[in-house]
Amino acid sequence: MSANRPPPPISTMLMRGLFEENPIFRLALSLCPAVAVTTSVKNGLMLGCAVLVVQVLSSMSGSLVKHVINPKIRIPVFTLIIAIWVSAMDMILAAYFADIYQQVGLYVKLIVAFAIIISRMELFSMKHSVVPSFWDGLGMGLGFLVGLVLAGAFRELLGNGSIFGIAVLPFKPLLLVVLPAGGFFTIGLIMALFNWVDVKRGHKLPSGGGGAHG
Amino acid sequence: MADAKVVSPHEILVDGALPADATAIRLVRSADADIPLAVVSVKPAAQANSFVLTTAETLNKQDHYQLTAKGVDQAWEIAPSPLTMVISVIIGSALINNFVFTRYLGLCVFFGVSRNKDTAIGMGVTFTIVGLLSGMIAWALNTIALEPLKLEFMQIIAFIGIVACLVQATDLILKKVNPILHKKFGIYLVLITTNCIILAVPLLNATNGATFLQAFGLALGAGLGFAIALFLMSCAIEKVNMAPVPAIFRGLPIAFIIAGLFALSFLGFSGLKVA
Amino acid sequence: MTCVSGKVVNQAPPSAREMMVIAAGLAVVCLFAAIILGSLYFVTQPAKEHNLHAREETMIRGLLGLSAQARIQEVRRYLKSEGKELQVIYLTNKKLAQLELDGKEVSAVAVPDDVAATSSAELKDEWVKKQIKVGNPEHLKYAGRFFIGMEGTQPAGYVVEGVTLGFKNWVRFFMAIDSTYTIQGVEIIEHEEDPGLGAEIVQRYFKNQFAGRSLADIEKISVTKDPLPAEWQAALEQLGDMPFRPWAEKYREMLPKNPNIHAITGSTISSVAVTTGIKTALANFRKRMNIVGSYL
Repeated sequence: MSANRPPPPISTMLMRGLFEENPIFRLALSLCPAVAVTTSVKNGLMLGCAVLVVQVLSSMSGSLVKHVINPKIRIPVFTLIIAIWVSAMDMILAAYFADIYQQVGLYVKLIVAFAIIISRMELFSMKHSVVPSFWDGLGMGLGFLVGLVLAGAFRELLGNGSIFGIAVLPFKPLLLVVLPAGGFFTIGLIMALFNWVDVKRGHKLPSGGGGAHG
Repeated sequence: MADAKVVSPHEILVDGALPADATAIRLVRSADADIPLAVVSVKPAAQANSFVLTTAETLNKQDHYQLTAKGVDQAWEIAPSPLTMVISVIIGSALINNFVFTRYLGLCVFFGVSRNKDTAIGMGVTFTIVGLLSGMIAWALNTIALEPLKLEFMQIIAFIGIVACLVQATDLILKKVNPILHKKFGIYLVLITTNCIILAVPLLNATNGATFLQAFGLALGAGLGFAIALFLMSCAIEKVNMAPVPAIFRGLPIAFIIAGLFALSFLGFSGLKVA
Repeated sequence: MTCVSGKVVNQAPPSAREMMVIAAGLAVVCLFAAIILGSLYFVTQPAKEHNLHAREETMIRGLLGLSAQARIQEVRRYLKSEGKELQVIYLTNKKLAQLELDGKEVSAVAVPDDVAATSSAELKDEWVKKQIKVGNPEHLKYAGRFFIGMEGTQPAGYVVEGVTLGFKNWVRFFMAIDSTYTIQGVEIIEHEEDPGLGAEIVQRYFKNQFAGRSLADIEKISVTKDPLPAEWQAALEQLGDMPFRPWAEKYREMLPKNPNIHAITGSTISSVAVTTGIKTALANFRKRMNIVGSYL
């Protein structure tokens, strides 16, 4: 744990988070907000940015303090670090972005329970120094952000006929998509899409499908 | 305080003695206590020593009202009974606003654990118990310490701390007291810490300023709702895993689609009101 | 995620001394966290309140069509339930008036400038609690508020804050009226209705149906399931881009042709809830104005 492994190239770290190990569609971690918050692009963007910031800061903090912490308590300490950043994020959003905060407030607070952040700290920050941790966190966070915006765009366009609040279609095609059920369908379909792209690229699908749970 | 309750949108059934003169009666909504509501008539009810008040304005069964009358010492408080309230909160958080299908919380664990019925039941039971305990402890801490001292910004840290400690303590206690049970349920305990629902319950209680009974109802309902969702999902997934699902859908994608179908059916509970 | 939790489960339980060290370490980190977050709280809390206040002010100015020089005065209402009779207390910019329910004055105290000028509800409530002595703090409660838009020394209109029980949960709204109790506009501030259904109460084609109705209209008004005529809908969408008076002038004839509120398709309950809420709020405000009017 004390030795820093040589980090992978930056582009790999970034692309990994966006596609191969996309937190939402491949690793299936931290799904709660993916379904809840993607009723519009704006909401998805806001929460995605919040998670990105928390992810990056937490990964960096984890890497900074890894020598100082007794390994037995590293999980609680990671959780505390994440909780600090999340509380800070929560207060800043509530103060300066109040109308969006009204819609996503609860989910911002729940970032502290996201498995993705703590698992990233455990898997990556513990073995690498600060700067690579920054890039890894950024990659994962970006993957999460892109996932949220993608799902958000799909649901807002189909459910509300708009993108980012700007009306694109003169009618609302399928209201269902904006309701909770629609969120589930959307994520399922996008996951299947990622699987399909994977098959096209020639990779074999894991036998359990695009998920990390055994 | 004697008994009185709202029986229809314009009628209140009152236990006790009321003057026959409607103008001597004062009925107000507790929140708007300076504006008396118009009482149209007072008539004796079917039961002995009871009266039926008819009002011009529409009454709400969930609202609080106060009733006094000139020349009568007694005062009546009209509010939904605590039992009704707790039951409606429980049903609300278990069915109407089911944490998985309506609020989309607890999904990570949900999709991982609903592979077969046994694990689903195990997780459901463990979660309900731990969730209830942590919800009540968090409520107590919030009401006694955090809010009076204006430390609300420490809520997230305090709540996650409570959950982590409780899970750890339960793990240790269970290992010592009942190793067999620990072997069976131990793994679920640890997964609880990353379950969004366990953190969402105290946060929601804090935001809504819940009373003890409301907090209890929400925590219990959340656990029950999660258990129900897990059980339903596991039954469906067991069957689906034996069906010819297209390769790109196998695993999580089809699980999400099924969850969506369940969410659709739970939509039917929307607007359900108890009592 | 599962491998992370696996690691924790398989470790041997720590010794007592180790636990003390661990607990101490965690306590230090917690304290550190508390200090960081506490300082951040002190910085962001005023900003949060300021933004909330700024949003309310924008809404009120928009509803009443106030000029840039107009000021907004808040009047807060409290209920004191100690003693034989209930008393109602009003905090205006000038006076703190303690009144019996029929309007008879019990006491009237001048309000210091800093309390009158502050936008913090907490500060105002605290000051009131100090002035009005009650044995049990539960017996003095904040009960509601309204706003007055002042152009110079004349009131240009009032904005009443009301609540009503919607389909899911409470719906909070602002209702703007002029001195003849004619409604100038409605804004929904808070609700938990379903998107696409009950949540449509925030749309112009629903909430603007209340604009231009007189007190007599509102007393009789009801909700109809008839479809919204396209012409009326086009007119309703304009209020907001246009201030109230020009809009009411332009569409003067359409109002009597649409005497009832057209419900939102699929959300009759939400529509009725808002209509009932507006009716009650207007009637209550009129009764209260009779009592508090002289203190404004």
